[in-house]
Amino acid sequence: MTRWLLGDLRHAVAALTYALQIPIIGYFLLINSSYLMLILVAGSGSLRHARRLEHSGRREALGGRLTPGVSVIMPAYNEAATIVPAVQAMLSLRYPRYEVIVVDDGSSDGTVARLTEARDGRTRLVVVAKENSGKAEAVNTGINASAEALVAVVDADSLLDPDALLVVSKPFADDPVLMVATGGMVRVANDCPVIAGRVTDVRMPSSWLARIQVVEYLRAFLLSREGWSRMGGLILISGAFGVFRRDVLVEVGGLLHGSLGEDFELVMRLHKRLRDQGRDYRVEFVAEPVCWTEVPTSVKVLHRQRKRWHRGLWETLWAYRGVLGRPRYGIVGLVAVPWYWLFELLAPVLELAGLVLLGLGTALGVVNLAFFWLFMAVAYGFGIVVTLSAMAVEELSFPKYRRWRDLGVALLACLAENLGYRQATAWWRAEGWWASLRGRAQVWGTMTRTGFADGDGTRNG
Amino acid sequence: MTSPSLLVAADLGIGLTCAALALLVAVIKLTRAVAASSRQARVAPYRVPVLSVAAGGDEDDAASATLREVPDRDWGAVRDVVVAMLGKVRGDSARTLVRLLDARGEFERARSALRSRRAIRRARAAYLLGLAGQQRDAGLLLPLLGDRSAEVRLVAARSLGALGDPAAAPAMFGALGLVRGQPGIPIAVAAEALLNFGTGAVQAVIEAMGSADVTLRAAATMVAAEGALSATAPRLRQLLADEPDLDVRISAALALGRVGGADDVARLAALTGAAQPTALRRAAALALGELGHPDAVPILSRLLSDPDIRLAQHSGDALVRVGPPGVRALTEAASGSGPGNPAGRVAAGSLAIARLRKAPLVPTEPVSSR
Repeated sequence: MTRWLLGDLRHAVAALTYALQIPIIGYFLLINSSYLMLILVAGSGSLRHARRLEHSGRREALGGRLTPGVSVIMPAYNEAATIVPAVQAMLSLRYPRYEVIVVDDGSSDGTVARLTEARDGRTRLVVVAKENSGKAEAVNTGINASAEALVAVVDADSLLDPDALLVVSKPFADDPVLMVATGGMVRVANDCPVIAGRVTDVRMPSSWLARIQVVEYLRAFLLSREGWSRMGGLILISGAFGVFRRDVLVEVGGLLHGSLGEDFELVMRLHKRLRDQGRDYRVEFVAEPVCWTEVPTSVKVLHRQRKRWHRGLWETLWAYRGVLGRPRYGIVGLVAVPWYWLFELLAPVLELAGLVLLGLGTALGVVNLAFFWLFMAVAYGFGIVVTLSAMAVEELSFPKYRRWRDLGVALLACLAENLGYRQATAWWRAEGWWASLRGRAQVWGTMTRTGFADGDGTRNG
Repeated sequence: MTSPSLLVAADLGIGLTCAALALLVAVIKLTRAVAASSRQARVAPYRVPVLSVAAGGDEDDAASATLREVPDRDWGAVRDVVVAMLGKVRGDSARTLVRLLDARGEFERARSALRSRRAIRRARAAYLLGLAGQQRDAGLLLPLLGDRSAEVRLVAARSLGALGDPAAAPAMFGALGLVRGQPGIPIAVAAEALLNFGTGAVQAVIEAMGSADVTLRAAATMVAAEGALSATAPRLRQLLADEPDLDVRISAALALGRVGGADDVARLAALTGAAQPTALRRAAALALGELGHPDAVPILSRLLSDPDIRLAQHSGDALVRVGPPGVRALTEAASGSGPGNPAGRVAAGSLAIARLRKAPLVPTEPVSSR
């Protein structure tokens, strides 16, 4: 009986493997080729940006009387570990006119109390304390309290470089009529020394989980942000650092309460509304790295984060399924959104399905072991090519890691990413999607902060 | 089944590409490090003379002489340091650096580069000439306002602003319209440049206020508001009466707050009426504060209880700006603050903020409020 069943299973797996091998290989080729193309597009954009820094008008903006004012909104929930350096950094940005609005979303760890250590008496600091109701409502509260023409939404655990506002709001000065939103490049700050809320020395984190996320962030921001921005199809601005025109933000109703991917949802809504109204507008990404954030170093927190991200991705893509393939939404509807469906949403499921099928085929003797390893090497090797290309772009445009040791670690992280990390995150992402399909309750979860490393290497959290 | 030999070939190809990319990253890093170190070595002997000139300490001209004699092979690196420094200093120090760059032929090269086929070279040249601040270059930069590259047009506008030659004002307004079928320079960039032209540009500003192009009117009112050009007051009153564009009306209201007089209190007060657009009401309240006339006090006091909380707050701040009569009105309103008196809470808030800002004429004792 068992032999008979095994025989049938072997036949089924063999048939499935035979039928799917070309589509699977095709998918792997397509996804990685599209990544590579986006990296190349992003690379040209980054280089272009880097070559124009001198005459970009940043110096003039700093002394400009008409430089648009910015309200920096920091929603905070139980961020006592990192809130002081984060707010200090916000208060000492180089920008002619701005205010900082911290919206405490009902923290229970004394976040508000710690804010008294952060005020500097020069830049306007507004603290709004409210009952806990989620990040979206916290940001909306901040938008209500804001007084400037531009609104920057910054995570409370993000650290900004001194020129961050000048850099990310510059596209608004260059094109104040069409520009409605810009996003900034976010990098990993774990274990980087922080003095007075500033990352003073960029170095690789000590944890391998964080190290892998360094190369992952680098690749993801070049791919999903700069690449798409250059092609006019940017549909995701990170919640960690984005700048929006306040009037447009108010017009579209601010962030959506209850959304798990509220940053993605907001940009999709901007595109949809403005295109529906037939308005000409621009959403742009600024490739210069100016925002630093702490990434999870525990598997548990990372698991929760990725599950939430993918669930948010699915819910937003589903909510805006009407945009998919519609010519009226231009490159967003015809290229960017289909790409996200095919290569972001489906990727973890297809990757896992491919792994299971190949694993099963190898176990049952349908696929020989050598073929299995050769195929895996092609699939993941192409991924490593993409990551290394992103690293090359970074070295050419805005290199941040000075040490040779950091380069060695980053190269190893490129390899290590494929040894368990990718598969685990694929599983967690699929879990997030599944939870949404089953209608499980949405959980934001808490990100346990360890605080940034102080100048002397101690933690300040 | 896919041929294993094909997979082996693909693996080999990918492996080689990975190795090549890793090597490329390392080579880029090494090249950058070597270039930075070489640059540093070339600049090191001249860093003190550059700082000496920039700090205005080159009284015997020795540092300038040293810099004029920098060998050509080192000049590229030193030049970048000098140009960067020029963006940070003013007065005699800047003039000395400009003379040095001129002596080294940098400006002549930049003037030639304005005709380069490459947009980035034209933009860099325009930037350097703007940084130099020599008005004689305005004539060379003006044609770039119609350049085929938007980037060059933008840099040229900023540089013309830096030169501060008011003769460029009409061309600057002209550059706001369509250029070769593309949008002109951004309003804020043009307005910033026009502000640098000072009162010499006032005639062009007044003329632009009467333009049929709303972009020109918007830029002109921005300049009038920020530059406090009093000669524009009659035109601003006219715009407030018959301008169809809301943004222009808002700018006109703010401008009139800066340059208007007692007669304008009623005009601005009418704009705070409930039937007016919210943004215009807020701008008018701020303008009344800028105007600083005591006649505005009763109007602003009434607005303290407006349902639009931002308008109420602006009115409170405006009362502080009016001076003693405004502060007295705020103090009075704050003394009656309570849950049923939103105006009192707004007034107490405005006084508290004014106290934090150490605004004059605000009583140092906190006003009791709940």
